[in-house]
Amino acid sequence: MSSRLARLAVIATVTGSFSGLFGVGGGTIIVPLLILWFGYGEREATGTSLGAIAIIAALAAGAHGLYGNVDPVKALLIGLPAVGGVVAGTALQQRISERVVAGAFAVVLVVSALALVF
Amino acid sequence: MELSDLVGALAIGLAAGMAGGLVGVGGGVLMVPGLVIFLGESQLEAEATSLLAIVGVAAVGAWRQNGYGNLRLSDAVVIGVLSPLGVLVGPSSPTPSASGCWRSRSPPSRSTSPTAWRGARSRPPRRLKRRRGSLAA
Repeated sequence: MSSRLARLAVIATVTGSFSGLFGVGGGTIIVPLLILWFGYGEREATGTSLGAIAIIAALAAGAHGLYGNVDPVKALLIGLPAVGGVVAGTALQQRISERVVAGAFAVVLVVSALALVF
Repeated sequence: MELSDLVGALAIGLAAGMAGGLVGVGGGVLMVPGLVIFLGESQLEAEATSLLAIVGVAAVGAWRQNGYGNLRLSDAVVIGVLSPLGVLVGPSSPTPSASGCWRSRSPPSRSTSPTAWRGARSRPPRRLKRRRGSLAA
């Protein structure tokens, strides 16, 4: 197995565990590791992270669905405005510097940490 | 559901999507408390439901980023496809947050929607009818 594939596999396993346990997509793991291990730019890391998250979240939602924990109506209720938000967010990201994107990511990390603790 | 709860849920969804598009996360860190506080979900149900919402958010976000030339599809697919081993650890193990990180504003309800995928594990135990003349006091 190539070193690159092995590192991607590590990212995948850690992200999958995080997603299954805490119900989040795992971007807080994927983005920094893609930047630190693979030398991605901020925008490339966020774009690739979203691609991976779509697959990971689908698998995790399916697994949770088997346990009867998923409510599709409420997912739609909160997901529809989120889709509008993600279109606006990606458009905004193209217009700001990568340094600002990194700062915004740091804020999200802090919020995530506080949410998990409290 | 009160109007303020509905508005709160929509606002949380919008903020989660914005955060997702801006920094490449799914937005679950905002959606989970939003589902608990405004839509009355339990912590575990909120985590599961947020994942379903994230599928659409991340797919649309990735599609948009691909248009901007920021998606390395092969790496994304490798990470996504190799993740099931880690994903399966989560739902099959007792949730670490079962005690409830977030508290609902409304009284807890198990059957919040008629279309909810409710499995056997989440159903309350059936109450047994007492037979006439049984020894039970």
